[in-house]
This record gives sequence, structure tokens and C-alpha cells, in this order.
Amino acid sequence: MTERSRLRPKPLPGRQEAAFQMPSQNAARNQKITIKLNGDAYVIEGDARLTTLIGALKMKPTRIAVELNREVVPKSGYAGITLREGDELELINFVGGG
Amino acid sequence: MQDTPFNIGKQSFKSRLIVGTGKYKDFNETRRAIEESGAEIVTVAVRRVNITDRNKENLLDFIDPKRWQILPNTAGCYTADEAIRTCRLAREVGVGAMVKLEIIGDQKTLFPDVPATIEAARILVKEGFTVLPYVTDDPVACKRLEEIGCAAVMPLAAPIGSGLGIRNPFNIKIIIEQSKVPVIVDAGVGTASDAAVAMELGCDGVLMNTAIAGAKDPIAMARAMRLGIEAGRLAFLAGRIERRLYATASSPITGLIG
Repeated sequence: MTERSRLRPKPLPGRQEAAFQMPSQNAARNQKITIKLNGDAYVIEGDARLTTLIGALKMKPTRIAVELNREVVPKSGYAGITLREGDELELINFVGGG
Repeated sequence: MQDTPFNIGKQSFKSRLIVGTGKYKDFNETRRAIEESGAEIVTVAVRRVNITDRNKENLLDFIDPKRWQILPNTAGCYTADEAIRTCRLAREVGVGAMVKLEIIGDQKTLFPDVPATIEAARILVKEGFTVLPYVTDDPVACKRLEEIGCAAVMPLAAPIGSGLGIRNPFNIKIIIEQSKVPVIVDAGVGTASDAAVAMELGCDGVLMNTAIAGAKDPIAMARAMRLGIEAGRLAFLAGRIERRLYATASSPITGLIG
């Protein structure tokens, strides 16, 4: 089992798992997927890499932590992750608290 | 008078005051209060990133993790699973593995769920966290938490945010006497004298948030708390006199005029 596939949820009954292959740049651009980001539906058009999303949200990787499908993603793993339809992503940071 | 260092896990601190970052007007006020308090350990909460407001400032841009030991809490968690999940995420931010474990058992009093706290602490200690648990002022609960490897125990003085001060100094005293790990009074302090009382009892430190952030002048109160902690600690080290029911004259009773 690869690190990436370990982070996948078990496919739902009837849900076709996409063939596991690196999408070409063009295919990636045309994709439109819906993930659950911090509990809400979030649409990503095109480039679905995690690092791209973090950049688009103007977040510094040193200020956040990432959980994908209930598993913590180490910072070293960000670069290898491309989000897919139905993924559940949590992005957390620190706020004031006691 | 020379004090011993304040050691938690493998780390050593000078300040015995730990402060929270909640309830301030803005991050500037948070930072100024922390500066004035002299605290070296600062608690923070773990929450979802605000996706809609992308230009929102980040707390860590004001509280430099290189200068302050960041202590993420599990505030808002009601189960061991939620707290463990929160701690694992907090560690991934990259500011160390020290966590304030707080599992609430009751919404009104915010008293801790002790069995859940012990359960979570056991797992977190195994995963290498430096666990500082918020717990009732119960010597047995504190003993259990110490036995499973918590780096400190943090009994409450009174309910969170209540400002009632130490409600049961005798229990706190027992906890201090039995503990081999630092005892940090967490929650319920209202003003500087409460902090001083905790330190005079022999506590190793005090953790507070509302007492400073909720004061009319938080910056001034932060300083008052620093001095209260220092005064109480020094009084503890100096060794206070015994309490007596009757007077003992301070001036000589011989050589009186006439």
C-alpha cells in the first residue's frame, strides 16, 4: 500500500474508483471536483494539488496542519497529494484560547 | 534568593506564569499582554482555518513560536477521541509536542471529564506528547495522571473563567505534597492575590487567561499577575511564619519608659 492510497477512504458501494494514475497537466486543468473542506462543500476546478489549494487560500504551511480523510498529513507529504472527488480535508490553525 | 528552574518534560523555564491568548480585543493586545506578563509558555486553541476571510491575520504572526513555547489546548473537546485528534493535528503545525489536554465533562461548569482525560493522556503519552492535563482538584485523579506519564498536572482553582480563586487550598496542598511532576493551577484565578496564594501554597506555576484578558486594563493586569506570581513564589521559598491565634509583640517588652 502506498502512502497515498493509505489516505483514501474505502470506496463507497457503487462508487467507481478512478484508475490510479498521474493525470496529465491538461487533464488536471479540465477537472472539476467537489471536496469537503472544513465541513463544507468546496469546488476545485483544474489543478487539484494540495499545495495549489494551500497557496490559493493564502496559507503558510508553517501556520497550519492538514488532515485528509481523517489522517494527519505530515508537511513532507503535502507535495505528493492531489485531491480527488469526495475527499474530506481539514485545514486547522491556532487561534486565541486558554 | 535563588529559585530552582521550572522544568516541564525536558524543557526549562524561568517564568512560572502560563498565559492564554483568548478573549483579547486583537492580536496586538494579545501580544502586549503576553510581553508584560513575562510568560514563556502561551496557550492557543486549535480551530479550522477561516476559508472565507483569506486575509485574516494568524496568531503565530504575533506570537513568535521561536520566542514562546506554544501550548495548544484541546478546549471544546468532549471525548478522548476528539482530544487526541486535536493534539495530533496541533503537533503537525510544527511547534513541538507539548499539549494542554482539556476534555470537558459538563457544559455549564466546564469541569473536566476525568476518566476521558486519563484515557486520552495514556494514548498521547505513548505517542510522545508532553501532556499537561487540566483536571479537577482531586489528588487521586492527579496521581493517576502522573503515573501514566503526564509531564505535569493542572488542577483547577475554580471553574474556568469564574475568577473565584482557589476554592480548595487543602486539596491543592495535598496534590503538591504527593506530586513528583510540576503542579500548575489552571483556571479560576481572578486577580493577582489569587495567583500569589497558589504560589504560596507551593504550586510550580499558574495558568490563566480570562483574569488578564477580561480585566479592564489587560496590560496592567498582566504585569500585576507577573508580580503576584513572583511575590507568591518568593514568599513560598522564604517560608512564612506560623499562624497564631494571639498576638506576639514585635517590639521589645523590656526598656519601656517609666
